[in-house]
Amino acid sequence: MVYGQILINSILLGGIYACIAVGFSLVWGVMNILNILHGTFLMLGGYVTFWMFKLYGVDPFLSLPLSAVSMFFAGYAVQRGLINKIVRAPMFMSLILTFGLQLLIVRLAIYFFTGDFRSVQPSYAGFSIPFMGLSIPFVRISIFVLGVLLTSILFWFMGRTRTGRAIRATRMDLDSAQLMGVDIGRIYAITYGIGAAAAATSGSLVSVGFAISPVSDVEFLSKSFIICTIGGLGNITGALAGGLILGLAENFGALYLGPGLQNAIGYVLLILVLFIKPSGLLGRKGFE
Amino acid sequence: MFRPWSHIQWLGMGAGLLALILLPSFVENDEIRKWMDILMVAILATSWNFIGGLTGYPSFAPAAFFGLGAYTTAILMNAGFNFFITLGIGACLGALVALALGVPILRLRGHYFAIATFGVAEFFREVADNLRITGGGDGINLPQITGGPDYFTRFFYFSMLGVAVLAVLTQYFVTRHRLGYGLVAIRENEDAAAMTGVDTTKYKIIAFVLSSIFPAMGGGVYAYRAAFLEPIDVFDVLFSIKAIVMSMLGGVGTVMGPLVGALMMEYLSDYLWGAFTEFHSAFLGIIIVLVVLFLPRGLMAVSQEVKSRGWGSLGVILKSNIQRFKV
Repeated sequence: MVYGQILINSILLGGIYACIAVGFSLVWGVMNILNILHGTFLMLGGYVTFWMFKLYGVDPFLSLPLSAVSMFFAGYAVQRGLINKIVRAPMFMSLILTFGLQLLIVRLAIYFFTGDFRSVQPSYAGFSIPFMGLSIPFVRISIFVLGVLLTSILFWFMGRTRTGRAIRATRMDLDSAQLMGVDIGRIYAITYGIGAAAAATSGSLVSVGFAISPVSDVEFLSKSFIICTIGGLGNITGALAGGLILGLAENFGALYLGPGLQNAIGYVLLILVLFIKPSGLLGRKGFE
Repeated sequence: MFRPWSHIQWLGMGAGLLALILLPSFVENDEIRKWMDILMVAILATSWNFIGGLTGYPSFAPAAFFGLGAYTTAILMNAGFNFFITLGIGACLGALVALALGVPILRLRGHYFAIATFGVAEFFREVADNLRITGGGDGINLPQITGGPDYFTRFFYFSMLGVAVLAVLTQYFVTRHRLGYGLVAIRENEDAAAMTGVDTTKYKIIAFVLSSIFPAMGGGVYAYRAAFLEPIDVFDVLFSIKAIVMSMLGGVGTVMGPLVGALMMEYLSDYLWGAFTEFHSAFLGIIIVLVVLFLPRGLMAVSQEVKSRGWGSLGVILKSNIQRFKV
């Protein structure tokens, strides 16, 4: 029975993890940018939902689009105005640049929002659904379903729309895509905006089931590192698999090794996977 | 590309060192402490330069070795060891860990290497948070140093200076040696370097080990001075970031670059916004953005261009810097 409950918790957690990592994987895969701002967009998206609920009483699941759209434009501006200027430089320049922005934004967020942990508490927060003797928290299952749904929408967008195709073409060969008339600067900005919007969406979801503070961005960022490395870049299935594996490893690790080492397990997994198969378990060659 | 320093350059460095040695005789303890911080980040930046600047592997491991050295000193001093012996043991331990980690990690390239080194630092922090011997999340106390503030400020200053001199001299001799040329060859094109007979694996591991020894020693001095350690303080990713940004500000891959960068950044930031300590990290963020956009190859490179083209062309140089890598 305990195992069943842990299994369910792991899967629910894994779904959220996958949702957290999808945008990160996209930006890394397309532009070869290790986006340190990913956790920051996630945190800001969470705050959009939190303040909408706190100030105007808007249900967290309804403010989701607002959080996604606002962070899309923020991400678009960051890429267009700053990262596009150095995107062809050695890859760790963009890493350092996004780190600088992260320091600045997080510091401002602490100033404006205070460092307290916040959580959205709608009236249905405590509900859970009984299922074959196990209990499934209502909020967590909704987050899971929404996360998977939004990930699928992204999947569809990348595969079937004109912009999605342009993004994939740019990833395959930048110069050829440019010759085919793709406006690289714009495509990069859109891609980054989508990454930010995906981060913000998962941030909104996380702010309901968990708690957020301005400094929790690093935690989510390192989860994204781990998930993308385990699952591999270049496809959304990789993010899903990585998320599930991390969720399972963390919950069962906490059971056997004690909750204190829960976070350390992820890093061990990260280094093991890098040692055995650096392109990730489901990663395709050429995307590393 | 790395010419041995001329007599004049050696004289200049000697004069700089002499000034640093004499400094405590002339200034207040506060000022000495400020210079101690400059020396500490200079150690981190110089060490990062071995792996990040010369070899081109963007390591986030300085924080890991800094914390490792700090905790080694803390634990051993509590067991009754002499401070300087703990520094030596910390350095050896750092080198051993770097050797063991370097073998698997240095096979990775690019972002994967960056993530792996970041993961190592975070893993160390989590472990230090949970072990009994490190005091866990509650932290660990060190024996207090005896003597008045005048004495121990100088004691720590000279310890830090010693480590810094050691790091800089090592870097000088490495860059003027076969090893340094091999590392630069790896940075420029690893496959080509391997083909021309550079034992890339060995060279990279040596660079990684060198880049871990001095942060471990610096961490040891930091620990004794702080007298209290918490995992979150010493395994802070900001130590790694500062090392990288200061190297970049001065000029990556040169001996002087990291020193110039550390001096500029710490001293200027203290001058300009010493009053807003709360926003220190925000200002650091702004500096990082400006450095990446306008000085991607560092102040040293810009100063050389200014020397050959005159001050009037400074604007043109900065503008060409920002347009170099855009899409």
